[in-house]
Amino acid sequence: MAEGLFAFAARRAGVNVLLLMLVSLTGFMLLHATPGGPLAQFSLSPGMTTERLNQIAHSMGLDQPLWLQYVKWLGGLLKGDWGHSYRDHAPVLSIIVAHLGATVELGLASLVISFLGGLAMGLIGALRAGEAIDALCSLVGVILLSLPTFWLGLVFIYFLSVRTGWFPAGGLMAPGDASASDRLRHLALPAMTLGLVSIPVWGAYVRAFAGDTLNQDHIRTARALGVPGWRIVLRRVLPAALLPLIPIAGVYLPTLLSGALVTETVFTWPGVGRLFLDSLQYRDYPVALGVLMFSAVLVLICSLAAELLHHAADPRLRA
Amino acid sequence: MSGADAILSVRTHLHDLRPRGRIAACYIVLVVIACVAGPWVLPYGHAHIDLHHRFLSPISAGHPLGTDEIGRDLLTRVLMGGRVSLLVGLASTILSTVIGTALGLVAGYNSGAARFLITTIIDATLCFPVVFLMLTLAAVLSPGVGTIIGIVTLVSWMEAARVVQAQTRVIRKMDYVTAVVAMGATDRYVLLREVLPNVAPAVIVSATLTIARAILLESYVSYLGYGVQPPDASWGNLLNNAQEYLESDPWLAIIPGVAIALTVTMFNLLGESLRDAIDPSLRARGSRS
Repeated sequence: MAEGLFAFAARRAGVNVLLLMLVSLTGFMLLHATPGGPLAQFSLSPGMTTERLNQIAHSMGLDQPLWLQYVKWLGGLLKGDWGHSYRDHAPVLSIIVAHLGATVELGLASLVISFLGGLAMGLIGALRAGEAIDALCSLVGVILLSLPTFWLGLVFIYFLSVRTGWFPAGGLMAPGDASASDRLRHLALPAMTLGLVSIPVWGAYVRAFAGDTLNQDHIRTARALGVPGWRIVLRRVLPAALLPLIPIAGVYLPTLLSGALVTETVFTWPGVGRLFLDSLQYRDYPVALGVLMFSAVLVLICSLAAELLHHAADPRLRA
Repeated sequence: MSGADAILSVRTHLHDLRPRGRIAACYIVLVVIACVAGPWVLPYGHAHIDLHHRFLSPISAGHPLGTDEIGRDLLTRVLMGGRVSLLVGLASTILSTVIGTALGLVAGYNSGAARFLITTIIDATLCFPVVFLMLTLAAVLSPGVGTIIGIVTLVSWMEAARVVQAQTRVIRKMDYVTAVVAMGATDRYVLLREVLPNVAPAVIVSATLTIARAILLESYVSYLGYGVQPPDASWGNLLNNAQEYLESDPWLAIIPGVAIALTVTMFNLLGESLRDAIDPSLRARGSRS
């Protein structure tokens, strides 16, 4: 179907705005469905009276109709006012941004590992389709896909940290040590954990896309003309297999974030995932809800960006 | 094609099951038997505390897998945990498959508002990172096995819905469907007697893969402390405080994890083998997407 890049972007953005409304409504309802509602944290503090609680409720606007609260909250979100933490009254958005760096660092490192691993696994599988090594690759893929992330992390901690002392068992860096090598040593185990379990996600797609390309006429022609195998893979198969991976990168983000939460918990990595878990434990609902909304927005923006990029990179989608 | 024919066609497909699929099926049967019957056979209750025999290492007398920090037999705990993990996996898969199939049929058969609404809800649910959404729900609701089944269902129904929707859209345009509609068949008849039996094989494959994912998701939430609560065991919450004793007693962390990894692997292998057997064209392409 003929559709310009702009029309495509506009249509997708329209759908995404609708999705965001739905997502924000869900998040808002969840917050208000919590036991004790947004006041839960305050009602737990000692010496709290019903009168004082009502005052707080009034000052927070909780005595207003629910739909009005939602509209106000949504307006605040759009203006960048995401509320304040119950714990230290810091603005939610700045707390999230402060934790974002560690998660991005972990996410990118694991993305490199999983992408390169998946590329290798998928290409081997496609080039040796039906052979023993293809079956082995798919078996390894299923196993990696089935490993609980936290358990793999614990196994790494035990064998590569506790037993051998090669890597630190957790944290972002050693206290007082800001060297790059120390940061990399701390990054190694969590990145490997998160990266390994994601290899099959990429491997499966590369395997399928590369397999499709290998069956095409121009590859057979190139082979018949005597073009070396590595050259065919590098020049023809790889670009064709990478192109459809672009939109998948957007879809992959939620998986990455979920994995990051678990990995950050095991390795006491101070990222957004651990922030989320901590704020749930402290009933710091504005922060928890903020992280939930933030990740949903991030997922939508990234999948839209990935789709646009794919649309721009693949002329067949526009023709 | 009637419902009985559909089941027959799945049964003939089973003859095409690859060896790894057969091994996986045998393993699953054995694990289910072990988890259901094992705790009855073993001498210790899963909450039997024996402070004189704490932290026994595996292959100790009377405790094949050792004991935990308060002297409970680990094998009994793993089998009891298996009951809960398998139950959560199975129950949430049945629920999400029924819900997903129903919504998928509706969305695939209609082209108007119903489809738009359902696909939008699917897309909106997929926007949330699964574990974040599950933990939020778990924090809101009171924890327990029933709650965790509901939560896993809520984040798992989309897979079946997408598969069924796509297939339904193809099937409803087929000639034989047009023919029965021309003969005066109602929508209800077409959906239940023509479409449903034909999407059944794909639904069975997606359900098998969903069980694997559901067991994994339960283990995440329980590991993080928001799922099945002690003293009840599940494969996830057995690892909950194992990290504390990782240095001195790594088996407490390693063994329940092996149970999860092995079982999830086997369900995934079975699901993939079923898919290959039902649709050989996928085997030729080697697609796993």
